[in-house]
Amino acid sequence: MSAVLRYETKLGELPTLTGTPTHYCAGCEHGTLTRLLASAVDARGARERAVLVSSVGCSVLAHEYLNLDAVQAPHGRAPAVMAGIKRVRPDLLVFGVQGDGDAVSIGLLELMNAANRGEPISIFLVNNAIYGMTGGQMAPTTPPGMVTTTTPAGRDVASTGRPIDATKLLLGLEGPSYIRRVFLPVAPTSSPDTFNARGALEGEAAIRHAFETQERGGFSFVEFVSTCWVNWKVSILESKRYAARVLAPLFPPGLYRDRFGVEGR
Amino acid sequence: MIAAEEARPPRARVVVEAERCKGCDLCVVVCPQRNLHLATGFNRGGYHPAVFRYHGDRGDCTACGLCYWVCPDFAITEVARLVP
Repeated sequence: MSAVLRYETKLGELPTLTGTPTHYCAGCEHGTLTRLLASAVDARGARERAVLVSSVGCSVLAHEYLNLDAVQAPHGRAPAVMAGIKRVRPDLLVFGVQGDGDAVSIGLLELMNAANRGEPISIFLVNNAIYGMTGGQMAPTTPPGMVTTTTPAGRDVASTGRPIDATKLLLGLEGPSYIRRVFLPVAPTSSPDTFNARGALEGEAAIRHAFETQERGGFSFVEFVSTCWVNWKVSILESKRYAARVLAPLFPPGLYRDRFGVEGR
Repeated sequence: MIAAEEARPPRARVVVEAERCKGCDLCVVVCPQRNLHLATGFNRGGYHPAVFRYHGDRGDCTACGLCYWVCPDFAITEVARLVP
């Protein structure tokens, strides 16, 4: 007769996650990011005053999975909607999830101007280097040579230019207070078929610091380098290897600006 | 064998909700001890869901929680430690 074993939960269900099965493809970083957002909101105890602004793209249904008040913005206009909400209700924690097709293409103007004004909002950019939801067209962030449905011979920089680096663009402005880029996918290690989860852990910290910056009145921006294996037309794990090989050097992760010194707290 | 198992109870536990899992393999490849693997059977969605076992290929589960953080479908609902 053995004693009853007791287990203490280290990581468990989050009140901010609804538990609805996601529409994301298997292994997509959008899903990982959803959990990280829920965790950061719960860590602040901000569920009752957090407002999610979802954009157009794969993040459009983020409000289905996060148990928060949410607004769905027109294509590319999420920063403008966020700025409006924050100006009317400065007590709310306003954040948005945008894709690279949304924020860096059609919505670049809104992103740049909201950042330049230093609106106290948090923008999370999921950069998977392609238009995911619409079927894999070339995005402004597509790396040179990548085959997409609109560049069947690979992206030609002579006619379509170099990929746009949103983080570097925002660095040229005085407005943003917190700028960070995180490599979110699992990353290959030296031993075969073993990956590390550093990106997810760093991402959770980055979101907490972005919220902290917002509460101190600054604009925060975190870019998450991600993958889209369905439209890159490779296997799930091969997409992670490609991201580490091609996207990480093109979009180097790191802390680019931290005006309030919220990191390391 | 059974007696040995009883003498040393599992020190950690990972709960996988098989119906939410899409069998993407991420938890399998990030687990340092290889405590997770994909089932041969299917769930209702037609995926091979991840299955947890305490004794992994490289060691026992330490409740590090990496699988919890990378899971894109919130299928890993709990990571727990034995109360000593």
